[in-house]
Amino acid sequence: MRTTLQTLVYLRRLQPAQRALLGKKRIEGRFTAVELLELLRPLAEFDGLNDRARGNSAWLIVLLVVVLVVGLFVAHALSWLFLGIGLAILLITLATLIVVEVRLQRLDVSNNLRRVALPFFAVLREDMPSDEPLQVSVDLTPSMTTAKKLRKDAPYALGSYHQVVDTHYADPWFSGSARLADGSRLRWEVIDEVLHSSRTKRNPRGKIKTKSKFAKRSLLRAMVSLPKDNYQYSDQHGVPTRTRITARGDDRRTAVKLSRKLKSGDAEPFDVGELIELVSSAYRRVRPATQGAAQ
Amino acid sequence: MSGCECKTGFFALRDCQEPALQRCKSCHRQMCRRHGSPDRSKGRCLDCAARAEPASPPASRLPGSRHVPKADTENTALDDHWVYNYRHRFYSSGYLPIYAGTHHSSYYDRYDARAFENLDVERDDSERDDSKRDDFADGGAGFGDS
Repeated sequence: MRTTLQTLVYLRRLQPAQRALLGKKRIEGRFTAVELLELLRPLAEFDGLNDRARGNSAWLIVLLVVVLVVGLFVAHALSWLFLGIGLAILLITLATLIVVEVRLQRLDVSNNLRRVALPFFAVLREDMPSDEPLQVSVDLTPSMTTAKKLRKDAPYALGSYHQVVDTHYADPWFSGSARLADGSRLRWEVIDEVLHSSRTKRNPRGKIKTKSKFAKRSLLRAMVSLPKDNYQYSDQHGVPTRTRITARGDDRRTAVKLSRKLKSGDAEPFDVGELIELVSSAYRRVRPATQGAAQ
Repeated sequence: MSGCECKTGFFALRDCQEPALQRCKSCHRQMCRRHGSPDRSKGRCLDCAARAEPASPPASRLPGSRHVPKADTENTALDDHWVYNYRHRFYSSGYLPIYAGTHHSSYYDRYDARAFENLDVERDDSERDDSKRDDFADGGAGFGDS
């Protein structure tokens, strides 16, 4: 209850532009890293509070419903007058909680914001001139929406499940480009591919049971274009990685393309360290050029 | 050098252009407002605050692959303190940052930073001499052996 109140107070303190983003759940445009961080940090904090508040409220709603049902039986057995006022207060509290829960649910944004996008921007800020804007596109709507549905496979049987229906979603939720302080250019893209498998079986007592399983594959892609005046690229690198790397150069730059696939059994965001590691893979393969300086 | 001696950057380090406001009580480097740790009472720079943090959370690792330090983004404000903490863990996990600054500081030598050979760098030793002279000129006590 206290967290819910904190969340509502925090919501009122957000700037109109931040509240608009909570409604749109999409960030697009050119911003400096500092602007982005100032815009998104309060949103991330609100989202963390919101997640905790809704988790607590759900339990409270269940508890109040149980108390309400028990109260009705007790009131019926004893005296309606005695318990009527208490039950009315309980009912109003329950209705208020449900309304707040629904409202907060609508304002929920993907955890990708605070677990991946925001920390990545905080890291990029370090490598960018303070007045240089970066182009970003962040989609914070859930991965499993109709708009992101790729296809629904024909039902099939699998073991004890007489019907399995797989639905595939593609969520290209994060992309952008930036010019870094060392003269390099960075482009990145993250696509989440989610498989939702709805599995139905009949249990020994004859009841029909359906359960959902998820599998997520995140495709991380980046291109770092390094100025040859500053960096000499070398393909020789001893440590094996999970990153696929190709490099192509002209007389001025070396364009290093990097990609990596991450698999997960749930819909939780991947660790932002994976994206940072992907970009760093380009820098691991270069050494400072002996001719020219990086300023 | 009269500016902040902390280095900004993640993949490639470079000089911070901000004016210095105070000295770090731990490494004695000059630091600007941004590079001061949020914990003002300790008067440390963000780098020293990061180095003083306890050991990193478990890293994700596949057989034969490189160690990727976990970012631990769930319960943090994702502020400069988080960035410098993560930077320290990332460098400690084996990443050798490119060093593109013009002022060399031995502070980052432990990360085996890869420096540009032909930069006209101000060496750390001469800088220390200058800073001592500044301390005396300002009437400061300087740093003596205890």
